[in-house]
Amino acid sequence: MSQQFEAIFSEYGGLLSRVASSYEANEALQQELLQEIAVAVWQAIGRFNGDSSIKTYLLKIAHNRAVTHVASQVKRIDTETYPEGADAFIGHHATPELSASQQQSLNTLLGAVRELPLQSRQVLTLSLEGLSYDEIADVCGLTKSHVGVILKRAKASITKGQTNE
Amino acid sequence: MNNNHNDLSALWQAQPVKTIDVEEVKRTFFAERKKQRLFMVLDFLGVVPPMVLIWWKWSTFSLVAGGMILAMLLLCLPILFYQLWLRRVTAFGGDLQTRGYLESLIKQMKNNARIAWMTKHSCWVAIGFLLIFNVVLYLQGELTSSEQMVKSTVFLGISAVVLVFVYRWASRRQQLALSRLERFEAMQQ
Repeated sequence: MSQQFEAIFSEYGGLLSRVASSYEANEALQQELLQEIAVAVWQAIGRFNGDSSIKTYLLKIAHNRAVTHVASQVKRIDTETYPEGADAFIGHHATPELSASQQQSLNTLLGAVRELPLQSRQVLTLSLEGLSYDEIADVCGLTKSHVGVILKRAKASITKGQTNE
Repeated sequence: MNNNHNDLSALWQAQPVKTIDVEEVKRTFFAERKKQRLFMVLDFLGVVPPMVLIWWKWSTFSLVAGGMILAMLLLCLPILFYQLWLRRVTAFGGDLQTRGYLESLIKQMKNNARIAWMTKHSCWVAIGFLLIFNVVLYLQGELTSSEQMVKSTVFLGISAVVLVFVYRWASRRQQLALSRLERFEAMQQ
């Protein structure tokens, strides 16, 4: 059982980490959310019945966990201050592989994604992870056409943000 | 358009990622499971005292005293089942579609706020209930000795102090549920 989880985390850890980063800009909270997501995956994986791909199933659990996490942070955000914005994120994660311009673009993208309303953020990031409209609709509980409309708007908003930079 | 999407997707997936601490996940998972089971046992234990009283001591109660304890038990049972249902939703609701999940969270927060409100106001109702309970027993002639009078007064005093803390705790729970509800409703927009 434990080995199965380690294999899942090893294969999809990056995917789950990107979900966490789309909800939390703060380093420590991002790691905390990632751990919470991993626990939620562990709890739910026994109920996976193969109706969808494992990737879609994990994304559903991850986004739901993130939604709960964000709401539970209300009290902490009210009383504590964290470095805001994507600069803090990039500053700590900068790797030699990323060129300066790529880092700048990623910085802008992350900032813009976190500014989006929940539904748009979810649809856009799922699409960026390569999910089809059907799979996105399944994760979010939307119709396929609704996914198309939301995605179009979210991309327009992101592009506008990048143009303004 | 498609190239733009691919570029954006490549950029998104190029972001540095964090590592999951699997050992910590295991520890949290088992601790959480233990905690949930303990909470369920405690939920059940909450209704055990009135059940035991009714089962073993029924013949020693007057009709009024027995009826009041039975009424209290009947009031507690729906709350117990609701608590157990909530724990089930919390434990098994994580793989719902996000829209449905959000709706269930909103419903849950509304119910939590309602329960906290009920708990808060049940504190002064409970004090009133205990006061009436003792007065009724006194008028029925069931509190005869001064020792019984002292015991019931001390019990009433201790209950009042405990219930003040419960009132404050429930009030904070209500505020928390309402602020989370607000947040979930904003997410649903």
